[in-house]
Amino acid sequence: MNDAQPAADTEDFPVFVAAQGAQLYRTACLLTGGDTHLAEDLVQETLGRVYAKWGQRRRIENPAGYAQTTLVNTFISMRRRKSNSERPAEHLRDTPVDDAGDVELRLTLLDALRRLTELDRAVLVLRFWEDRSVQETAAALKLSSGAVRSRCLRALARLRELLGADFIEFAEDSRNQGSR
Amino acid sequence: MTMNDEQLRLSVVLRETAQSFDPPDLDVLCENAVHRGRRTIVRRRAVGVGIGMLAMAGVALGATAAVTVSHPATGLGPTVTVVTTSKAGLGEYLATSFMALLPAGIKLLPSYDAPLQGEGYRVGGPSTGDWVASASVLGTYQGKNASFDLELVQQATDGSCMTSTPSANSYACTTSTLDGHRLLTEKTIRSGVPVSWRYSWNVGGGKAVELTLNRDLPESVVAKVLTASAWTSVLRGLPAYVDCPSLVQITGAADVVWKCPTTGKTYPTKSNDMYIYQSS
Repeated sequence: MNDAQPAADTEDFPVFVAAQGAQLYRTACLLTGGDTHLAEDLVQETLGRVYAKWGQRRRIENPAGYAQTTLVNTFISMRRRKSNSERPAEHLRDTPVDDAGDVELRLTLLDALRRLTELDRAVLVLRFWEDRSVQETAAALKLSSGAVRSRCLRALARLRELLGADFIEFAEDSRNQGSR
Repeated sequence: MTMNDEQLRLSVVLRETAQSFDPPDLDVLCENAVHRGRRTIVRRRAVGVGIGMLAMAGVALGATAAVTVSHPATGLGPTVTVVTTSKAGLGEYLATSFMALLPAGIKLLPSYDAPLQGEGYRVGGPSTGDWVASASVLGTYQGKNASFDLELVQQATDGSCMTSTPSANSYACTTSTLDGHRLLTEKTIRSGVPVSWRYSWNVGGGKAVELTLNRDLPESVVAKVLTASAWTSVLRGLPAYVDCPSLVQITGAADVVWKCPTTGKTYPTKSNDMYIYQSS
């Protein structure tokens, strides 16, 4: 027997990756503040861990949720491990954004996300991209519900400070485009 | 605008932004993930040895080891990760040696938001199993944040470079030597952009020491940190400080009992919860 093989068959692992890989990657892009190389690496590491557990997947009630939680935890542990402390984003605009286009606005949002701590960023991503409840977010990040709420408020305030009033317009523009 | 409105709109913005990222080739992603997963399984099935980590000013830190244990019912070998604190001598030894590698201009920063941390520095967590000991120092140099990671890692069974980002496909495995130790990885270049300077030395016993320096550091500082005489001292003294754990943290295992190979003390755990035991 190959020691590198999980106990159970893994034929359906590629199916799982095909179904969840894009979502995981996009979550990773938000977590990394738009660093696509790091995001891809993060997803690979996450899926590698999921694969290592795949033979035991009957114990995992929700593989997609398990993978998402693993992704966030991997992100936080990778950032700690690499000593990627919060660093000033050199290219963050000093002034609120104007209507120069969606791409620039998104880049500005990603810049702002990078200014948050890893945990604060993870809280926002889980709450507002993954649509997880406070309790679910707290469980995934091993925080108390109160800590999630306070981090969320703090992160929102920070985004508000970084992006200015144009953040609202950006959101409205995005929502309008999404509804078209 | 109310707080709820703002949160709703943030949700919209995040979705729009996330959707703007086109995912990579999922077949390639899967293939690379399977490669990593298999390597993890191989590592988990190898019995590791806990080694103490950096300690400073009387603060004991941890080391990790992937340890194969037996399930009481099935006899299979789920894996636990063991974090240990070791005798103070090891920590003091590593701290002193590691600090000696740093340029005089480095000012240490207070650590933050990390478990098992001490004043002025922090250490990594036991999450990956790639490494068995790690120490990181945060500092400032010439107005920039600087980070220094020193890791003692378990080498891959096939002798390949142990890196955290094999997907980069750009790690240069060389046969260069420093202080008589084989230099496994010279530096990390990802898509032409230096992410970090990463050096790894084989120190025998299936282990390697890795040093990661962040990209903000000028090469002159990197050269200073890689002073050969300092590394000679660190590497020569390291094996003498391997110790049995006094603190054990078990994660990721279900209904297993881990037995410390040195003391014989047992540590039960259940269903993926984390347990921390302090030896008396």
